[in-house]
Order: sequence, then structure tokens, then C-alpha cells
Amino acid sequence: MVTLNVGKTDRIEMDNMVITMKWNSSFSLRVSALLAAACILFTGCGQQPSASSKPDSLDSIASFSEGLETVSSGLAASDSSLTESNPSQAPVSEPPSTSKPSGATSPSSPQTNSQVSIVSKPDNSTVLYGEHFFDDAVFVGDSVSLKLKYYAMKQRKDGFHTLGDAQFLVSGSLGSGNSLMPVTSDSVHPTYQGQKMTLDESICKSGANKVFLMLGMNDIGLYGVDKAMENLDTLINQIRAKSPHASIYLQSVTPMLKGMEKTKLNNTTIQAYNKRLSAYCEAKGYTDVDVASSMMDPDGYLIAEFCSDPESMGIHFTDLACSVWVDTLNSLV
Amino acid sequence: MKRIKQLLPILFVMLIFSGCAASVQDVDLGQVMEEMEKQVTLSEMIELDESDLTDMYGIQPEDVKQFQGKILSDGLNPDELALVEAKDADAASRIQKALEQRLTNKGNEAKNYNPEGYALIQKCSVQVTGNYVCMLVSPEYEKLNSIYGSFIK
Repeated sequence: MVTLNVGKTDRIEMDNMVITMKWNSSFSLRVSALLAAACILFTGCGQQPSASSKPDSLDSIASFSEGLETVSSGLAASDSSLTESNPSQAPVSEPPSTSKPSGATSPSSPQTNSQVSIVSKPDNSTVLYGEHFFDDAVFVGDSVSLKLKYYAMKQRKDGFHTLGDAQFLVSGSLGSGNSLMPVTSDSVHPTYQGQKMTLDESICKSGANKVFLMLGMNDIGLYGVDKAMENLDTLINQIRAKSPHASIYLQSVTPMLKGMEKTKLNNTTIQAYNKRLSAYCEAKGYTDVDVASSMMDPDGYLIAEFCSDPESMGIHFTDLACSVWVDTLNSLV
Repeated sequence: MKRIKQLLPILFVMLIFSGCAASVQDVDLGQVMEEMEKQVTLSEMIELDESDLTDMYGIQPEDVKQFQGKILSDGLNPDELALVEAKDADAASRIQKALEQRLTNKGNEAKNYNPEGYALIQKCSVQVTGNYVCMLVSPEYEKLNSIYGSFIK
């Protein structure tokens, strides 16, 4: 038998592993106090586990070596060699000047970087003539336009009023064809405030009065030019049914980089599509916005310096290309 | 009465531990993002703020206590970081759903034109710890997650 003295009047006797304890009130209080102290020490130990998949075992931050892989893309390499605008310009000034490589076709307007003029107001503030032109616009498009969205976002956060307050309903892989399909968990309809919905619905909810569409890159190869145009017409009719007041601006599909053309999607089919687009605009009274001409070299290929994915698809844009695109749009003002 | 007195310490312990399980220490998500920027190159990414919450994710600003976000601006790769502290558990649940939807949509978009991006998205998930919700889509997912986990315990 083992006897433990735990207090003046308390005794724990252990006999054949049976413990007999004699309690009194002071002993209970002492035990409670000890337990409380232990709990305070261990506060924070019982964390709610993560509700989704847990990461791999945690490495110490100190163990990260200098040989970390950097998140890099061809975009960084291609953009860094270009002459681009100085982002330190004061806000409410002319949009960043662009340095266009030789061979770039200027927008149809005789003006290039001065499509907007600075007007001084009586209260000494300045306003860009036409800077509000895009405030009630929405740009609809695929991954090419997605880049424009992020370009405008970045510019706005840097203090430039690029494309005003224009909204964007853009989604990678979007085309006229799949935009006509029902919204499902797998569909690529752009979201409006986080909600996926059909384009006619989202355009209506946006309240836009000007709808700038650039669709076709994900249609021409899949459906051919004729069916792609047919789908576009159906889509526009749906948009106009819900937003009858909206003006329609159809932007031409931009060219592909040399060496990246496919059998059915290539600069020949793109140009054929754009020609049909122009004729369609004329017939319907829509505005034809020739973005493509600003992006192509003398041979009709996407200007190399404008391409951010020269080794994959050869269609996506650099920041420089976006600045030229914005110049083209500003020529409408 | 004697039995009740004997049970009191046990009850006391149970109450204390139930409080322990629900709490996550206060974390400044700005510091978390700062540490991520130190450890991983995020220079090509645009910084998001509260004004982007509704447009990008459909998250209501009134649900959010603090937010740090970044997105890659090339329009091509799916890299995106969203760190959110919700105001309460219900808000955290709504934010979790919104970010999960965002992740699903990114996957759908990338599937056809960016197989590498799609594969990356499949490896990522939305994580919830208390009122903290995060979505980390990056080739450096594991490192970023490790950094996040060192703050959000």
C-alpha cells in the first residue's frame, strides 16, 4: 500500500491500484484552482480545424531557401523590354503615352495620343474631354478582353481614369456560341457581382448604355465564320431585348501571332469574320470599332511586342497592346 | 450537495475548454500578405481592395472585417490570392461559398485555353479557419499556404 499525504486532513491511499480518496471542501477548491490555472496556460490549444482540405505539413518560414521559384511569365520578359508610360504622371492627365513599334497601324482618327483634350474649368479643376464617355459602358469579351479589364483596373488604381467607369463582363473561353447556352456550374458566362448569369441579363443589370463586344476568337474555329456571325446576331438580339436603349459597338477580333495560327482559326478566317462584322454593323446601324488594324503588323500578324503568350496561343496582349487598344477606343470620343 | 461540489471542477474545466476551441488569435492580414510578398515573387499582381469585393467575388463589404487580395494582371494565368476575415461565422460561410464559386469559375474558364492553369486550380482550395477564409491560387501554393498557416492557427 502506498500512502500520499496531500494535505492536513486528506490522504490518498493506493492499495492494489484502487484509489480511495477522502475529500473535504478545501481540497476541492485547491484542485479546482489547479485545473483553472492549467486551462489558462493552455488557452488556444483547441483550435477549430480547417473546414476544407488541409495543406501539406507546415515548413518553417526559416527553411525557405534562396532558390525559391519565382512566379514568372513571358509577360514579364516581354514587357520589361518595352518603352512604356511613366506611371508617376499625375492623375487626370492625358493617358500614358505609348511607344508603338514600327509597323503598327494608327487608329483611323488623325489624332493618336491626343484623342482626349484637357479642359480647364472655372474652379481650376481639369477634365478630359470625353473622359466620361465610357462611364456607362460595359465591355463584353473573352480572355483577350479579360486582360483589358485588368489593365484598366491597374491604371485606375494608379490614378488614371482609363475607360472611365466602364464595367467588364469578361470570361476566358467566352464566345457568342457558348454565351447562348444555359447557365450551369460548368458554363463560362461572366459573373455580375459574383453571380453567373446570361449576358443579356448581366448587361441589363449593369445598367450600361453602351455595349462594347469583342467575341469571335472562341467561335470561328468551332463554328466557322457563318455560324459564328449567326450566333452573334442572336446574342445581340437578346441583349437589345433586355436593354433596348443600349448602343452596340462591335470590336473586330484581333490577329494571331505569326506561327501560332491553327487550321480553322487563323488570320485569314479572322479577317473574313471581321469583314462580315463590318458589313453587319453597316446593315444594323451598329458602330464598327476596328481594333484589329491597330494590332497587326504589315503582314497581318499580331505585332510581336503586343503578344504576351508567344509560346502558347499567340493571341493575348501585353500592357503595351492594351494602351494601344485604349487609344483606339478613345478615338471614338 | 456533496456530489454537486465534486462535479463542479469538472464542469468548470469543460466550460473553459469549450471557449478555447472557438478562438483564433487576431491576425493582421496585411502582415500575412507582406510576409507572402517577402517569400514569393508577387510583383506582377494587382493589389485588390474592399472596392473590388463585390465586383470580383459578390462578397458584401459589410460581411468583411479585413481583406487582402492580389490578382495576376496578364489575363492569362489564374494566379489570385484572397485573404478575408469575416465579421462573424455566418459571414464566413457566405464568403467561403463566394470564393469557392470563384475558384470553380476560374477552372471552367481555364479548362479550354490554359491546361496548365486548369491543373493548378485543381490543386487549390478555399480554406476556412474560424472567421478567416482564404483562396490561394498560385504555382507557389504550398509555400503561400505554409506562410498563411503560420499566422492563422
